[in-house]
This record gives sequence, C-alpha cells and structure tokens, in this order.
Amino acid sequence: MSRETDNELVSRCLEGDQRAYGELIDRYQKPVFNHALRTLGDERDAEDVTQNVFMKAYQHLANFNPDYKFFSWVYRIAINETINAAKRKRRHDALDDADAPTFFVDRDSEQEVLEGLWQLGAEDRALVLLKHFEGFSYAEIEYIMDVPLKTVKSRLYTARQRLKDILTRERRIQND
Amino acid sequence: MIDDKVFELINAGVDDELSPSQRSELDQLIADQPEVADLFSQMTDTVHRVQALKSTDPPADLRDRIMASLPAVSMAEHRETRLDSVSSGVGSFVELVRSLFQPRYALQFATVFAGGLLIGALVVSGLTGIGPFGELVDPNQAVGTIGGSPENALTGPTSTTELRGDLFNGTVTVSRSAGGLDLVVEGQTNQTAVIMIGFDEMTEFEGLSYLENKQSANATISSGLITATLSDSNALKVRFRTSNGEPSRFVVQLKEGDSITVTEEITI
Repeated sequence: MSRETDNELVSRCLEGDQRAYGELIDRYQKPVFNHALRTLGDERDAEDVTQNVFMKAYQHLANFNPDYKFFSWVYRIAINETINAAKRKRRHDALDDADAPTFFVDRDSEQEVLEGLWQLGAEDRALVLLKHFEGFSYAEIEYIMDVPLKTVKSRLYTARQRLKDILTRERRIQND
Repeated sequence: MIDDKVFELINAGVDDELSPSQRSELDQLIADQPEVADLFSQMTDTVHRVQALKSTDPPADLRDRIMASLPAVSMAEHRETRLDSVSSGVGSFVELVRSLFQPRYALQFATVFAGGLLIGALVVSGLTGIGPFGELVDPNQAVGTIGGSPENALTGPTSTTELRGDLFNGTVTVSRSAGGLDLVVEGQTNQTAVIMIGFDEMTEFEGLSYLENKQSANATISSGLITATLSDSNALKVRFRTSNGEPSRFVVQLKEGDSITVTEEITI
C-alpha cells in the first residue's frame, strides 16, 4: 500500500485516477465487511453491502468533506447501508424464522456474543460494534451515526446493559 | 436498584473515562455495594468479549468486484452530469407513482409486501375502527404501514419512521387529526436531498404549513407529486384530506445526487 494519506488518494481519484480508489478499498474493505458481517450475520449479505458501500462512496466522493476522516465518512455510508439491508432482510424473512439464530448448548464464547448481538436492534448492534469492535471514539461515533454525543452514550450504555443481561442469562441457562 | 447517576459512573468507568475523583467514587461504591461491583464486573466482561471477536477476511476477489462495478466515467464528468439528471429523475418518478396506483396494478401492489397477509389484517382492523374521516383512531390499533413491514406498522394517531439514505438521514412522521392527514418530513443531517411524495387519487392535497423550529422547505406541487429539497435547516409539512374510510397511499422517495436511495410506501 502507498503512503499517501486518504485525502491525497481522494484528490487523485477526483482527478480521474481510479487506481487511487483501489487503494482506499484495500485500506478499508475489511472493517466495512466485518461490520456488515457482524450486523447481518451472513457472508453473502456482507459482501453485497460492502460492494454497495464502496460504490456509493465513489458516487458521492465529490461530497466528501476533507475536514473529517475518510474512514469515518465511509463508515457513515456503511452504517446506513447495513441498517437498510437489515430492514430489507427482516421484511423478506418476516414470516420465516429459519434464519433467526438459535441457541446451542455447546456453542463457543464467540458464537454466544454474536447471537447476543443479534438480539439487539440493528442500530444498537451498530453502536456496540463501532465502540468495542472497531474502537471508534465517542466523537467519531457521533459523526458516523449523526446522533448527538449525549444520545450516543445513553444508547450505548443501554445497549451494553441489554447485551450483558442476554449473555448473563445464557450463561445461567448453560450452568443449570 | 442502581440509580441513573451510578449507572453512568459505572459505564464511564468501563470506558476508562473517569477523572481521578470519579474513579475514587466508583471504587468506593464497588467496595460498599455488591450490586454495583457485580454490574461493573459484568459490563466489563461483556465489553471484553465484544473486543475479542475475531475479524474475518473478506473474499480475495471482493476488491476486484468492487472496482469492476465502478462507473467508467471520470469523476469530473460524473460531477457535471449529476446535476442534469435530477429533472429527468423527477419525471420518471411521476410515472412510477401513477403506475403504482392504477387499478390493474392493485394486485401486484398488494403482493409486493411480503408480509401482506399479516399487515392486511392489521390495516383492515385499523380501518374498521375508523369512523368518518376526521375522528381520532384508537391509539392501541395499528392504523397503517410503512413498507409493508410489521416493524413499521403505524400505531396510534402519530407514528414516525426513518429515512436513511447514503448520506442523508431524516424522518417521516405521519399523523391523523380532526383536520386531516399530516406528513412531516425533516432532515437530521446537513447533507441535502430531494424528497418526493407521491399520493394517490383518493387523497387530496390540502396545503403546506410550517414547523416552528425550522424553515419551510419550498415545495413544488403538481398532479399527485410534491417535491422539495431538504437538509437539517428546513422541513416539509403537508396536509392531506382523504375520502371517508378509504386508505391513503403515499410513495416517499429520497434522491441524493442522481440516485434514488430510499423508497418508502406508506399506507394510512
């Protein structure tokens, strides 16, 4: 990967160099893919969302404000795209619970956490992942989610408590 | 029972965002109250478990697929053509709205909503609970749907749904009162988008009004289509009237640049 900054790559891209965009994809496709995967629970869906995110970022590249981090800006698109995909998936599967995660007695710790996250709403899941899986600061999450800082914290605190309750309850069931 | 102030302190502690004096306060609470100690320990454990989730590599060919899907035009050309396409996009949207509300598409319209059986029951039960136009509905009954989804059932006399585009975030609030049906569309981001509301022939446009806390979004109105440009500094509030007992249908679309990024179908 080159040592150019993201803003330099964006500038090159806006001047017509598509290879510069390829470098941006190299840098950020993995976290975008992982966020979509953790939110939607399906690799094919995550691939589709990742592709859509980078296509839309490319289409809107002229709107990118270089005062913000490119990664945060792409993530904002990723959040919207993932939440919309989750809503479409819920509509499609409304009468079919086949894709709902089930609890297995012998599942490992990672599977427990993923299934617990799945029980949160799409936005709460996104908040928890942004903070603790991606490691964004509260200020960055405020920008990405476009929600005031106080609301970000309040919602994250509640989401964490819910996830804690889910995981604690499951552990009790397993130990019984 | 842990009060809100202590709950916030615990969470700030989990995030390691406490001042020295706050840290001392939390440590004292943990030492004195087992309930606080348990909650702090469990929250910390939960966070660690999320942090420990493994990262998955995307497929090796995903990058190439993305590159192959990018438009062939250069960025400079893309910027110039984007502005020209809005007007043609609006024209085609009028045709979409008209086609959706023609009788021969009624069956297709109903079947588009995958959960239609369930939603249909909700709408019918909501409609039979509605008297002549203008009466408030039973707040415990669903009075319509957005997008045909159970999660987006409209409940009570007022209901709000999100409009999440690529960059623009907003909300649509529908409400029923003695005066008519109100649709309020607001943006929460400083990004601009074109909002288009199409309404069927059973619904009459009555007028535009204004929200006190925002500028009014200037709208154009023609033959069942309302168009306005929104950002977080303005809002669109539209009042409709409808025939007695008949549902009103709206198609709400969000256009960012030259792309339709959101389409919501609202039945009230």
